[in-house]
Amino acid sequence: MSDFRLRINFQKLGKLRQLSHLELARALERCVRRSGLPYAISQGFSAHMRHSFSAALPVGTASLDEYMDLELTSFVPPKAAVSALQQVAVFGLPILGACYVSPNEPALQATRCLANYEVELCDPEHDLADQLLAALRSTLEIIVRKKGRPRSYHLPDLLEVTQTRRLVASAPDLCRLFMPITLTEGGSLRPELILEAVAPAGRSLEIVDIIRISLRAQPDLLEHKGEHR
Amino acid sequence: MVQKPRMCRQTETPPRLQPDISLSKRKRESLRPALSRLLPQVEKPVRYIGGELYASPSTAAKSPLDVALVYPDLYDVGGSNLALVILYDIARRLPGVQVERAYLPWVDMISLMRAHDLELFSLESCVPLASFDLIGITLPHELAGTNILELLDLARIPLHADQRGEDAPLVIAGGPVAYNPEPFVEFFDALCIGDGEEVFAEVLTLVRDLKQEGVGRRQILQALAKLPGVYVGSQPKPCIERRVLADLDGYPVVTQPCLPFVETAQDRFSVEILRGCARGCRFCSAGMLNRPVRERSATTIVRAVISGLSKTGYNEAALASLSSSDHSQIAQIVRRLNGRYAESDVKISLPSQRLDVFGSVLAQLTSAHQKKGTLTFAPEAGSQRLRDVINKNVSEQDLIQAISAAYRGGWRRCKLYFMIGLPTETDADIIAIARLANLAYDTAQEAVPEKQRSQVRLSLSCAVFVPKAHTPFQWCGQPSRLELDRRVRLLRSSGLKKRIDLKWHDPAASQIEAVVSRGGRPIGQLIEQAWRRGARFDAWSEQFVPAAWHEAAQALGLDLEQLAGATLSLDSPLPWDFIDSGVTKNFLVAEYQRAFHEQTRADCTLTSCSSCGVCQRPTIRTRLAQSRRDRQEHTRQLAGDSARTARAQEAALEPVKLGPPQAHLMKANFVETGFAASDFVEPSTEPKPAKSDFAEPLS
Repeated sequence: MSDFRLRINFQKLGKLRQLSHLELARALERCVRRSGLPYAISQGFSAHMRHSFSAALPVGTASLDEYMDLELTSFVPPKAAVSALQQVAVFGLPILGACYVSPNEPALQATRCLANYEVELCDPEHDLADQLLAALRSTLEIIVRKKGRPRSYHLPDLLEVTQTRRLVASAPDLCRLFMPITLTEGGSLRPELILEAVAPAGRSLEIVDIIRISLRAQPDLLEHKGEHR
Repeated sequence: MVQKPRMCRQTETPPRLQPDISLSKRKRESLRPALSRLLPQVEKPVRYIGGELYASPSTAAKSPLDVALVYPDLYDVGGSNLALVILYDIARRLPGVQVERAYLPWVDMISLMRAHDLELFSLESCVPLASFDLIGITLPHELAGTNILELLDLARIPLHADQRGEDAPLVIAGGPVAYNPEPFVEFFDALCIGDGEEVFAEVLTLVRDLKQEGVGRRQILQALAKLPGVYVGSQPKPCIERRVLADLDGYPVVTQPCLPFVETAQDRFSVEILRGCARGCRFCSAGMLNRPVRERSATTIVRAVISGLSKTGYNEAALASLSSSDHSQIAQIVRRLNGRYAESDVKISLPSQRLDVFGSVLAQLTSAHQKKGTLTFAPEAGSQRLRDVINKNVSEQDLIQAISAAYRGGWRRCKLYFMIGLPTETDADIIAIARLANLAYDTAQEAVPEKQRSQVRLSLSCAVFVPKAHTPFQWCGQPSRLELDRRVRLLRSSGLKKRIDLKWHDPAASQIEAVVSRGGRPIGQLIEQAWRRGARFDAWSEQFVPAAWHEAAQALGLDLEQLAGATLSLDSPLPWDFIDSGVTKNFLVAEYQRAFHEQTRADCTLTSCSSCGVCQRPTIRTRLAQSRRDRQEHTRQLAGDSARTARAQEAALEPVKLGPPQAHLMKANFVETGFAASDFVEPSTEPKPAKSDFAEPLS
């Protein structure tokens, strides 16, 4: 393990929301190679760049707050690293900042996190948001089909129901929900799957936009609980 | 796996009919909002979004000449096509030209686009393809015909050139299949024959200038027809000489190609290290059409790789060509690049290697991850007799030495390419494939330490012989489908070791390939009728619908078996006779006859001129970075002076005495392999060049 573990903060925006996690990783790997940063490589049979990412974003979901841990073989001041990356970044994957974290810090995916999502849905009758919020608050168990099999989930483990609320939508016939979802190593559920599970019977949801607004480690959450985003 | 015949697909999409084509020019307006609504419903939406690094900027503004470059297959296949990378780079450097790309969407997206009335769009600006002034489509292989119609239909451009109005885009094609343009001529306003670098720039400049002067479509086509190497179907010319890029080394390498997000078929930075191959395999159209051999120098290549990798961020660079290990400085190039990237995760790959020179390259491939992949070799035929017929010029000894060296050197996976259905093939040749593969497997087992023997993997890939235009085997027929199926069964029951993995091409698809490859103008109708019956993505085995082609052939009164299987007489006129590919017809006839006498011909870059006619034009010469003969000496020392090289040299020095053709032998073979003896047309002992044999050098 390298001593220089650079945590890079970036976004996935616009058209590039359609990238899968692997495509995103590949695009960022190439960005790192173009930047000329002294990245570390694994010592195995098939050498590859040593990096790790925060929880995978689904295809079609944009994000304003993503992280990548990159191991370097020598120290580069974070500002210089950010500047090198920004110069070669792809439009739609902007680099926001970077800092060094301890090599002993748990891996990004192993950290219990809270991911705040904003979901925009079609709501021509202006009643969907209230119905969904009421259903989320009153439901304890939800059934979601994963890989074809129905699976039961305890909703309060997945979603901070008390913080789930309605936001101002971008158009009159839309509604927008704020959903803080818990990400653990054991997995999580995408916001649209939770909404579909509690949607009023016979009503299909037409989702217009899903954005991951922020990603916070769970202790961080305790400190900021109740704070407006 | 043999494909099961399938019924025509029930069209899940609205019937494909040419919509009402408005005579006015399609507006350049963004289709992005409509597209965004469809993206959540399709597989891999990233194929349709554009936005790659080094792509042209997105703009709604019109330029003097808007050009779209289209690959008639999925983005995943065409995104890394080196020809389009080069042409895109040429177009974006031309003043007054704005270039964008488009690919054929996958079937799920096509259904949605038809259902939601969305037309085909460009990736960069997401504007209708029909709003462009010029559309350049590459013809990569014979099975792309139905995809071209599918994309024209999706783009709402009339399928036939003569139906296109004044404001419709000019649809221009190029690529290897354009050397026999007749099956496609009705669909294109013009076709470019030969290397595209110079002619493409000339076409764009001409069309841009004429458009700015307000010249009409007809006059533009007349002007295009006057350009060398351009064929306009409505303005026939008696002879069209292909274009050749004389100096490859002087032509800059594209070091900033569009960087796809999708993992493409060739997901790496590619440098074309040489163009052309003079080995002279008699079935190979690429080898005949891309002569002479032109190499880039080691310094150019090394510089291009370093620059390209630093600008793209790829972790792999491919030294691409028809036969990369034949480059006169290949060992030096690989050594220099390996030295440069020794301590990194960057790998240098050599995609195309010959058995007989593998030894000299092997020594340079030292890093572990270069050995992780699969090595591929192409002996093409199982017996030495048949390898001599096709002029492969490799021996069993070459194969055994290469396999032994590779497995001893650390490789654990190897793939061998063979072809079935080659002219004069007998059952004994098929059985020899299994024998040779078994021998290769045993050699591999012996070459690795005992504990690692379970890691040894060997696979066999069998293609079907397809007679291609402009090759010595253009007159030869393809065996019938039933016969090919029988030969595949014979191969499977020939005692091939169970641990050898065997795959083969679908004879039904290869038959269509043969029909299109040697087809004339009526084959254009066959392609269109097959497309109207649901054929598309014919090169994808799971999408290929043989029934659509058979129904189309029936409707037109064509017999696919007869078209693919016909052995043509040497003096019969051929639909592509008016295309001057550089190689003379006399040479092709001589090679055809040598094949049936099992006479080989050596590579002219290693021995003496083979008189193919290519270098008889001014400025066109074989251009090597250094002599290949020095390297050949080195190779021979390494390979223990294989019998092949000596034999090839003897063949080159000895004048060939053509006795009466061994017709008795060939006829016997045909009977044995299920041919009707009457299918065989004896080659005349004194070939008479056809009238159209314009390629005869003026001496």
